[in-house]
Amino acid sequence: MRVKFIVVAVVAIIALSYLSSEFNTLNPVNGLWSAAGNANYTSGNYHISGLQYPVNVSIDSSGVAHIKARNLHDLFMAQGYYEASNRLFQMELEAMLASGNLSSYVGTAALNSDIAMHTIGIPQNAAILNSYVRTYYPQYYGYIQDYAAGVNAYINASAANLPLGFKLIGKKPFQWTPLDSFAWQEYMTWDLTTGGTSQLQTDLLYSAVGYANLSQIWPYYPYYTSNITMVPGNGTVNGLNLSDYGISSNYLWSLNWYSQFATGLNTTMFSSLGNLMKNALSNISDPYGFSTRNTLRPVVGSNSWIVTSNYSSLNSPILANDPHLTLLAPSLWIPVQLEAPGINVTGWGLAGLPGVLIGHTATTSWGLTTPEGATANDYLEMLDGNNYTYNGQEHVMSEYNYSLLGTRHTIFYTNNGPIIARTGNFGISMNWTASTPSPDLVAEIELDMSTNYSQMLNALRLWESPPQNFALAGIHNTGYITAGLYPTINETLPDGQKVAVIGSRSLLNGSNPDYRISGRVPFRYLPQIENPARGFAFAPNQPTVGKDYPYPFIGGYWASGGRAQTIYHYLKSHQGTTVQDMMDLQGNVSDYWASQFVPVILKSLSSMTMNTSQAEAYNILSQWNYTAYVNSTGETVYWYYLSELYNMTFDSVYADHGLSSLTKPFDTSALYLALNDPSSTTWFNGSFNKTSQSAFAREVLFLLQKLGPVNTWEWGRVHQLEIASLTGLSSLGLGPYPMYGDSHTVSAAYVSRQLQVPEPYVTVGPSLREISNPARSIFYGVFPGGPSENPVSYYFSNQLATWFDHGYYNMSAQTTEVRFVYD
Amino acid sequence: MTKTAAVLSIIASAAVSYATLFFLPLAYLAVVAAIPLMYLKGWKSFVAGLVIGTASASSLYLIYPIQKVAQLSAIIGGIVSLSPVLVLTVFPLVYGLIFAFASLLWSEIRENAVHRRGKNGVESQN
Repeated sequence: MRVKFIVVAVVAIIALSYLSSEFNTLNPVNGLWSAAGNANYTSGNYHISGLQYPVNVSIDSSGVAHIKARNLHDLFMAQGYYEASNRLFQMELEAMLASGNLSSYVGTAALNSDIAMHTIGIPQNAAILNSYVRTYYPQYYGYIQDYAAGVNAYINASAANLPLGFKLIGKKPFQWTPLDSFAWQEYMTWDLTTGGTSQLQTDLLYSAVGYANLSQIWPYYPYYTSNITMVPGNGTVNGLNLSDYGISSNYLWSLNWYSQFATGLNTTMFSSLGNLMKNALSNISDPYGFSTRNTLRPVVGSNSWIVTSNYSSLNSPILANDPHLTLLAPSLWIPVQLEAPGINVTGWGLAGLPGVLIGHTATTSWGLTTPEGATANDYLEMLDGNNYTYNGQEHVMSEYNYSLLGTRHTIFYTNNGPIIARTGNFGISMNWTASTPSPDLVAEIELDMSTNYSQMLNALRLWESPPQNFALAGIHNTGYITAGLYPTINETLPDGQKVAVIGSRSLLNGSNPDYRISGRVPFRYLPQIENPARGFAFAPNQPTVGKDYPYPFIGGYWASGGRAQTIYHYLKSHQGTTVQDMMDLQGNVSDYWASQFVPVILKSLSSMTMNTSQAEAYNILSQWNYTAYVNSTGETVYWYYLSELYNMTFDSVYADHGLSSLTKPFDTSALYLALNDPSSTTWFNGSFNKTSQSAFAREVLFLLQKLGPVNTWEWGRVHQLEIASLTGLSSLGLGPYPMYGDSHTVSAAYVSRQLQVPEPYVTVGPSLREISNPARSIFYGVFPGGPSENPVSYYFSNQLATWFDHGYYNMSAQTTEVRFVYD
Repeated sequence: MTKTAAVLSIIASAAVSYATLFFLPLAYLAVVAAIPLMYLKGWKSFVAGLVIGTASASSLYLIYPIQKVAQLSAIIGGIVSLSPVLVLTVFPLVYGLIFAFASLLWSEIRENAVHRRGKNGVESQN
């Protein structure tokens, strides 16, 4: 009997012990639960080997860390340690993603992502950039190394109690190097790059609907944007415009920029290249789903504006910025103040990169938006085996080899760039400016050290990729510059005149030297404006310059300008702008395009015989004030009307040609067509009014089925925000929350227009909000998250509620909550 | 076995349990922590092992703010598609069960040895 007991006990112990290996990570002492114990900051001393002097760190009541060191070496090392102690898992996951090595962490699920990263060239460019900065900017490279040393000091200190993420995936952190910071910089550059995908999309549409129809839905400059360029006026910059080259802008913009003179290719080829172009699009889209360059996402952007001393109630410049990025938990940003001799900067840095990217010093402030001019151009290559043809001769393609999960992969390069897709003897290569080293981190640290407007401007001479609209404000001066490398192509126009243009509308002939990148826009003639005479300027991704700009943006894939219109009209009517005005404008949820479109819709429906529900929906729409609050029913009626209209028009044409995944035309294209071509057979089946009435009837029926009575159709029921975790695990994210705003409101909450209830979650929006007036030391900010990546920490999302409410933290007047010393 | 000895073995076992859980928190080390319970007999050792193991492992959650533990259990439960309560109790339960069977094992081994010694003693008398 006892022997039986012993046998049973032994078997049970072995079985349970075997089973327990699966559960050891749930042990209460140093398993996953330790994250519950690490949820709060603890005052005290933390030893960091390599520091020259003690560094004081205080966390204020808004969760912002203030790091004070006695020299720059210690400062950046402390920043690395602090950021790693809050964001190590995020940083390493991002570095793995950007390096095309995520599959070594998570297996085959990330294989396509890794291949895409190498195809785009992100890890290769990061390696080039690393060598470049080490060679040409050794002092700054030293700061980046100090940051890495700080990260590694934390990794070593936390070996016995790793952050939650590592425990969840059962991996240990790798040692951080400057290359990891550069890889993440390159990833973010790709995320903010315009072109590359755009030319392929327009070519596919060209072959599907032809030039005339394509021009209607994707004009070179979006409709209704002539009054709202970033640089006011016709496009003259520092005295130079197109007429100085003897070229008429009317003539230039009347040309078909898809045609052979512009590309070296016969447009009839596009239809036979459809699959090749689709493959190229697929190969360079981010299968991990994070990048905003995903073609399935709505066109997204950012906001910024400035008011001059003369226009401001404070008699000194005020600046506002809210960059729109994928909203993640934890945020891509981490707020921090860095103080040491020669530097005192406060703002938001990208976790994994030293310094502050958006913020202010005591006397300067700056913000960023994306200008949407092409810096990635696609070329059609004639291939024969491993050779490509250029200028009538064959050349051998260079190779880049790498291995993933034990399998070797090869990327081939022509003189234009990596081959991103190939079918038989045709290939598409991508020329992306990021293959030229861009010492953005050097520029960023110089901005962090700036004390006046001209120092900021000088720092931006080093900024290359991606070009950004930098809003700048000093004590007296304010303005904009679109800093960065804009590659130019020397085009010969049909009338024989020559002009250097930025980007293309289409694939270019890679074999013909005439279409190679041959220059760049000089710094002096980049779009820029200082102290605009009208008192304000703004750059929410609308066209930066007018049509007379001396370097025409043929590859200008601008945003529709709805936010720009709201900002323009608001600032125009707010002379003597106050800080509160700036805040109100950042919180504005009026849809400008709705205000233009709804009267047209109502008119088209006026002759319709309506049932009770339709009449009720019509009344709601007619009384709507165009604001998209969560309780707005007007916004819901409007949005789903447009979704149905799109479904019956653009979506259906796209679908007929197998192009459903391409970016849909702007609302303004629909508005323009309704007003100017209402009997279009391509888009409206001969009658806008009839199409409009059908769309409205179908919308009402659809929403009655999905949402019930008309008066319950509140926007917040269908429009929801999810702040996702980079891991893709919904439990580690935040939301969904009912969300105000839409794709065209200043307080933006982008949504991909789909006929579903609820709409796909909003995932892109204001990733931070900044308002500053350096002359009076007024600095406000907020972001939708907190500094910590620990999901049970108060500091995981401590600023989220304030962000939701369009509130702010006074960044120079917070009380200290916790202090620690790094020594 | 006296009551005092039983209490002492329980206290000793609990102490070893906490020590292993703190310094080397692997569930199968319950086998070591269960050794002092060899002085309890049969099912008593099993029950004592189960209680000491489960209670000692569970009580360690108290070193963290309970609200944070609850929050975390909901998150982890969401990730692994298990109920938060199960996520919280699975380690203490497995640890307690190993503890219980190990206690039973040690107890039986000891009983066996004593029995044999007793048997050997009788034989020598004969």
